[in-house]
Amino acid sequence: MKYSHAIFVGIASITLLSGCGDRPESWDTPAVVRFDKGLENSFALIDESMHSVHLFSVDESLNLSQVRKNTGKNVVAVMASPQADRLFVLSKGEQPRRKSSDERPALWVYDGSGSGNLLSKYTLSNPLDSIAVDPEGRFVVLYSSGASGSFVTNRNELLVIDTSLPPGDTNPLPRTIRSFGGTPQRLTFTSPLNLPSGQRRLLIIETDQDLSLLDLDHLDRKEVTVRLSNDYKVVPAGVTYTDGVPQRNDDARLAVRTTKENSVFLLTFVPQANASAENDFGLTVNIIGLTSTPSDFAFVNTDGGLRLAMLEAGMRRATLVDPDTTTETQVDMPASFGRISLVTREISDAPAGGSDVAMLWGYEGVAFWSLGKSVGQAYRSIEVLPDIDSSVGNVVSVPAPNQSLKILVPNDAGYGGRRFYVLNLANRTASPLLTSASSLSLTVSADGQRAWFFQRNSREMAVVDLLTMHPQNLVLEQPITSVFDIGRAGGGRAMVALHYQGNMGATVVDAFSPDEASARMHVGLLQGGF
Amino acid sequence: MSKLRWYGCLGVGLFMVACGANETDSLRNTAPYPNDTGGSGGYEGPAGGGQAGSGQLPPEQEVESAYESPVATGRFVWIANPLSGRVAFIDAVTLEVSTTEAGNGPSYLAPVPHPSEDVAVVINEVSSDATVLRATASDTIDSISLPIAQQNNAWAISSTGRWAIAWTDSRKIAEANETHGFQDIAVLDLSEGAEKATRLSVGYRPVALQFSADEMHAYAVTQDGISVMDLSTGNPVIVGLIPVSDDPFDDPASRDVSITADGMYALVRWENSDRIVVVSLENGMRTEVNLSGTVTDLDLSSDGKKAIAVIREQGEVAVLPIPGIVEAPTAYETVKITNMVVGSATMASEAQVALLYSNASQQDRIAALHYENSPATSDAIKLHAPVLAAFLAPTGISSIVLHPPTNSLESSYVSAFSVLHLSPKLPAKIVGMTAPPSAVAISPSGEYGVVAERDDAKKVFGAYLIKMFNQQVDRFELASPPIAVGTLAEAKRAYVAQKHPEGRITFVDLETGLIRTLTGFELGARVVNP
Amino acid sequence: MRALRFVCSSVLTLLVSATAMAQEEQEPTTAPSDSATQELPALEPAPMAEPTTPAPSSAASAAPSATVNASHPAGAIDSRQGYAPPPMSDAVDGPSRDMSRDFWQVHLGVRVGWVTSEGYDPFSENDGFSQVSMGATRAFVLSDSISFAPGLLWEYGNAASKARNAPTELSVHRLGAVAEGRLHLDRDLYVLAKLVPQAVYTGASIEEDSATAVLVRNAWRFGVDATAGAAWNFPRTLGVDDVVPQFWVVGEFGYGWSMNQDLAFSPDVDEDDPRASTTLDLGMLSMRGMMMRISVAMTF
Repeated sequence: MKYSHAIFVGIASITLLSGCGDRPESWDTPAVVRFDKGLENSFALIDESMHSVHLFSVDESLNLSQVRKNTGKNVVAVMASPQADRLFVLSKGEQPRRKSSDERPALWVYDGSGSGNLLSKYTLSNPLDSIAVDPEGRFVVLYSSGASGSFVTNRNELLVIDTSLPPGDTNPLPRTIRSFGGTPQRLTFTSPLNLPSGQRRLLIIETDQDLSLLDLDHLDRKEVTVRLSNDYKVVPAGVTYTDGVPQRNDDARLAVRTTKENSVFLLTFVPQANASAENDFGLTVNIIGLTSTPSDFAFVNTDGGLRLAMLEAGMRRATLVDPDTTTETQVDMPASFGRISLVTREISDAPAGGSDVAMLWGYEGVAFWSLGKSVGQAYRSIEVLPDIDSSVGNVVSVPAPNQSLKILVPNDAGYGGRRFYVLNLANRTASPLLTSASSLSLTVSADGQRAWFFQRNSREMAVVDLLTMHPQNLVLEQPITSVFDIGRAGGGRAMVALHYQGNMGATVVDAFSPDEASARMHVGLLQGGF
Repeated sequence: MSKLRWYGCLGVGLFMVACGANETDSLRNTAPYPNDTGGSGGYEGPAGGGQAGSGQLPPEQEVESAYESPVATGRFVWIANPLSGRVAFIDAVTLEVSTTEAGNGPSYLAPVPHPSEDVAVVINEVSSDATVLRATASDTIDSISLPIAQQNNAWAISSTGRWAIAWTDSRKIAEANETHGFQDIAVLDLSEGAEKATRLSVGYRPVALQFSADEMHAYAVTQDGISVMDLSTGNPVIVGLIPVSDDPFDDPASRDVSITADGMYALVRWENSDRIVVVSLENGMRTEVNLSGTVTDLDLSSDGKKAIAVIREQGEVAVLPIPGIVEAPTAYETVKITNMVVGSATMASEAQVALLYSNASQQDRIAALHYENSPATSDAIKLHAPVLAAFLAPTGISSIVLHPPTNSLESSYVSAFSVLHLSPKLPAKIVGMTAPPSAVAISPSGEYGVVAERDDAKKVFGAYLIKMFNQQVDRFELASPPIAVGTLAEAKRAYVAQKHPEGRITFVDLETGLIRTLTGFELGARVVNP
Repeated sequence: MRALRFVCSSVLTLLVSATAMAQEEQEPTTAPSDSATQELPALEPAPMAEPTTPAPSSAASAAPSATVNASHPAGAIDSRQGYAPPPMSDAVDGPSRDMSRDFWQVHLGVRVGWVTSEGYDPFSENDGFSQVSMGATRAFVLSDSISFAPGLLWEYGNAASKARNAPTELSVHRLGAVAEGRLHLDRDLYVLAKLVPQAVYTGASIEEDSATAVLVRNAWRFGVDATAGAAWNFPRTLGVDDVVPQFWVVGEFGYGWSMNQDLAFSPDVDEDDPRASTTLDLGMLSMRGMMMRISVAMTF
């Protein structure tokens, strides 16, 4: 019977041996994607389950080529550089760290032009979950939103990273902002300002009760903090700044509006009076009083000189304030506009003398405000666009060469569809377009030629040629989550619609001649490749 | 700077006191916002309304300010903030705002004459001390605090600035119980480097304090009489009480006491009496001067050489020479004023000119009395509205006349003022006001004036810049209720202090009319720029 | 794995059945003897046995079977001369064959391969791939101890798993021509070397949610299995008389090779369906690697 035993042992061995070998764990890990970003010539997906960044580029045949790079564990934020040529990925690493080999938090910087190369990795000592990117692409500031879940968090600690420099002992540079109990809410990078001590770029840190200014050109210096009130109940709600007259270095200013106060704080940069101070500029503070809380403001050049233009929600007027004297000029408005945007550079008929033209928009339509007549002939300075009769919730700018166009997105949905407009600043016309979408998402191509409209989780989308206003509707196979208009290898551009199904899909069409029939559907973008 | 010029520079929300007005019956129209509690403000009309005919005319009104206001020294404007314990001082030339710490609850400021420095003193209400503030050549502030008596709320400053007396004006204290005598004063020796304070007690409820010309003595006009202080040794002491009436139980409320600028004599007027008693403060001798009728007003010239008594019922004005009237009680000049009722007088501080008017009648005229020569002459001036109060420039060349509120429904103006130019004589220019007047100031030279208006209910706040020489009036809006106005000769600016939680003051260039408003005096102190 | 279990169960069943059948067929005419201890008789022609009812045999069996006298087993083994095949006898029902090597053989077994190709990972959590193996050969005796057995082979296996939560399935058919050389060491044991060129059909599918249809990739490829092994007639060794059919256990080990197979999936739709151009490329699949085959063969 031992032969029978041998047989059985042999069969058992076969059974066991057939289970030898295994496969990478990645096959058992479903893709987890929370972040996607469109870049100039590619788009990126972050597969958090695999701790990888996938950069996809489109070739002449609308095929996708993929580059996969490792990234950190527990990604908390992803941003693209303003020029869309780099991708910033902020990860928390392995928390808590039990072994020395456990990954630390880091900021990963990838090349977004298509190679996907890891350009830099800045290792952090503590996990942070928020990121602010310098509009000029040089600095990145990391900070905690307070939701990181850490046992102890210092929300006033900022990590300033100069991405033009490699990682080092002082890069990232930790800075704990002076606090009187507040925590950062908003960061603003200024363009170079002509201060009494020279050209400077500043980082404006708005907390929930005061303001701090950090000299980006001298990060070793202490910040300047402006307490807006003694009882710390004044909450900043936004800033605007001006360099003043180019030939002067004593008229750079910063204005701060608040959430509830009927006033605006005006900060003027002056020479430093205290020789022992670290910063070589000083600040004087003045308050401009209004009758209600301003909803928006901007420094504008008028026929009477530089002014701070302020709008008050629900009020049919605007206020122009001379920052030198704080003299106020009221300009009556035919409607109540809550928002203001300068459009001087986008129009062709800007007033002579360097005065600005502003676009006013909000709940009661859109108007143009010619600030070349605002002080002298205020009654002639407002031009309402009669064609726009709905509230405007958002104004989307179009890049050159169609920078004179603005896309006005309505505030709310209405029965029978929603109307949005393509506003031509050059001839002050507004082309209405109707959509059946209850919520509209929008992507404007980087070449300024097209605008893609879609509704998240719907299969319908449309592209509008911004020159002819011709819409072309497309219905894709899968619900759409994101849309990008990116450059293609070999020239041309492509529209990529992402589908958050399975292991991610994408529909790629030629951006210049979009056609469902010629669309290429790509499935399982994150499938395989291990 | 001379004592007279200091008084001229003040002109701050202090409505000139029409000397001789009855304390009890006269409606002391304190500044409309004694504690800045709001209200439509303005001037209360005479009790019972005005009626024509001197026989049945109501008493003349005493109009003066009871609200602490900013004070101006040669270059600085000082503003106290009781809440923060800081005093802001604004360089009127550069408009740079600085702050310095005082005591607890700095409230009552006064300028201190000094040949070369800007010096001010402030009563700290809560800590019951006073702080002496000196602006050094390097624009820093040296300060020293000295103890004073509780509830002191007024200052008397000697002409050289050596002495300052803190005392309690019971008229500023609401619902003062009769057991509160407010008899404690503090005499501060402001000698630099040897500052000291001496507490003394004077008669019941002082109403005025004054120094002798040689600053060897100080006098407190109280209900008990005139308390005399000896300052000659440097250690102030009370040396006696000079009664001003034969009757020790004479009702002090029925009399009005004025002390000559040299501190040699006191003149006492009684309500409904035709006599004036001249009391020598050297020896207490009393000289009775009988006039032709009830004296309705008694004013003293700033040099103490002349006194003007107005006998309304007779339509006469008596010009009393001092000290000559003591030797010859009947040797005074009488000037008959025809075609108008006169009940009050306002004297120029640097010229022998006085304005004569009555605010108890509804007559639209005023007279200018020139008494530099003998006989004195009067010159009637036609107005276009009744007179409420008159303010004469120190030089006597110009005047601002306030008119009572208008109740006419046909007029959009609620009040008015007139601009008078006396030398050369120009027709009165009436200016309608959109809110009741709240403060008046005239520059020492008489070339410029400022009138503030305020209506809290309608939120109408403004100020008028007046160029007296050509009677040009320009109105400018204010963002906040005005509380005081003044002029700064050295800086050639006028200012309007306004009610604002952070402090607000508007400066007006007297020549160009350019306006600069500063808000948030202590914001600069809250800028942390180490 | 399921196929393997099925095959193992089948093989076990067959083994038990075969053992039982072999025991039933046994008709000892003399006292049962232990062939290991029995004295070898002198070499002389064995008498013709009376034809008996043949034992049930498989359909593939064509040659008449004969009951062999246990005391005179055909092909007596002379320890001095090796195995000598029994003389051919003039059978009334046909020529007699040496059923120890001249036989038809059918087998049922399991082929287990170890596929280390990365292209296999989506379809299995391990490297093992099992197939049921069926085939038939006919041996041609070339010499006393060498025979050549060509035949046919069909193997089928299936693997299923999930690739990042997307269900996957891979089925492989092998249809091959068998070229097997045998060296008979004994009447109950021979070693073999086998070469099986084959046509390999792979059918792969993946149900990727990002696609609106199941993605499939089917293809034919060429492959070759080269194995060596041994076959053992375990019932006869255990003492079962020569019966027809005989049952052998065959074990082989070797290497299986097949051409690379791309895994460019596309939707299982008509060619004119616009989705037809959708592709998902999961690399290359190479169903090659070490393999072993265990089967139960029935010879007749």
